[in-house]
Amino acid sequence: MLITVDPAARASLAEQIAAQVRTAIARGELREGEKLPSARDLAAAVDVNMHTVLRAYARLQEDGLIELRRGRGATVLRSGNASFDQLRSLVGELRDQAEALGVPLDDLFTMIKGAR
Amino acid sequence: MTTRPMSRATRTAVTAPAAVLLLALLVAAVALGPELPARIAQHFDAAGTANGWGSPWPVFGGALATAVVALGVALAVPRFPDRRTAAMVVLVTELLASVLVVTWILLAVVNRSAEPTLPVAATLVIVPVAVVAGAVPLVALWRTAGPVPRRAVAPLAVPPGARVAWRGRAGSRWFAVLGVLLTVIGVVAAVMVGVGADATGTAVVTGGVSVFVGLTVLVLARVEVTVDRRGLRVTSAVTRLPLMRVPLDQVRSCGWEDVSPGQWGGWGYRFSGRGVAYVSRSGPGLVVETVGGGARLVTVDGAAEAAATLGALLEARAA
Repeated sequence: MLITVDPAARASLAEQIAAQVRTAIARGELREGEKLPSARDLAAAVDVNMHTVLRAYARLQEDGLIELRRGRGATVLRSGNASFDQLRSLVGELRDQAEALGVPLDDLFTMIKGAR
Repeated sequence: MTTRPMSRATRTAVTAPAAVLLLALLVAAVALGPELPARIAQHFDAAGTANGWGSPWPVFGGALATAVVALGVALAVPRFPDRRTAAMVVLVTELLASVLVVTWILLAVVNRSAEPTLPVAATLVIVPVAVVAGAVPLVALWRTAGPVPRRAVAPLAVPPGARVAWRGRAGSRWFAVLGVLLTVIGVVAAVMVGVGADATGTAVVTGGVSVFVGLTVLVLARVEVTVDRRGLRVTSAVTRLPLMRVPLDQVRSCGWEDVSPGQWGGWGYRFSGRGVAYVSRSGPGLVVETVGGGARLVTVDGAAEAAATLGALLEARAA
């Protein structure tokens, strides 16, 4: 699992960490039942405040991707993987549909970005 | 991996020790076997006096089987693409075969007398035989092994001021199985002997050693590999024991290579001429060269990404 934190980026540090843990789960690098690094350890690794990591973990817990337990740290949950599987299949469907309609990938990106 | 073809001399050096051991065993069996009584002295106390007797042939069978296996392995070696791992396997079989063969010949020789004694010093003859039988093929194979290509990786592109960390897992189910097995055997051995009537200290110690080795193997069964601004760390996943630590300012360069266990001295936590290694499988491993000239290796999935991350950290340090 690769974690990059850029203080100059627009997203907050906690958002950046949460996004990358999400990606790691989506890519299958973190599997169900696996432990995330302790907040203290990850904070030291990327030189941020421990509460920033805890904020990121809390957000992931709200999304049902991980479970936080006092003394046991953060564990990856199945439900998170399941929803990611769903997202992945939706993305696959999206690309198939775009291909069928002859929409280039770049245009699809623009459509996704402009969708909200 | 490029392996040079084996010359006739190399092939002889690999097969000769096992062939000589097998021949010596057969000659000894033919020359001394017919005169041996049905029960021979097989166990001796520290003073060299016999205190255990049995048939000579089960030990002979074990020695013969091991010598045949050693010869078979030596003959099969040219088929191994990886000479270093082959050398490890040959080393183990040669050592086992030489210990068993020399033991049987010693027993056969001392049992020619009606009251056999075996001074401890005589058993030392096993050592040079084992060393020669093990070292000759090892060195011969090692010399034909091709160089191991180390792959450099372009450092990860990271925006200036950004911080990067990488984390991976490594481990082996075999270590876990072996660790549990050794621990259980050790506990059972210690308890059974402790309960038994003639409790001897040595069996309890042997059990204790087995438990210790088992637990050590268990510690190695699952590890976490971390690359961040502090450097490289390998930590046992369950116990949190630090297994390897290289601070970033001690790292000179990094890369990855396609590891085969023989290159770094085998499986587990290894010390060899190339450096210190955690080896749980064949395949990609992260290699770090230290400022002091040493090297560290850890076999881990995503070793290339780990090397790229470490490269980016080294670049940031230099800047």
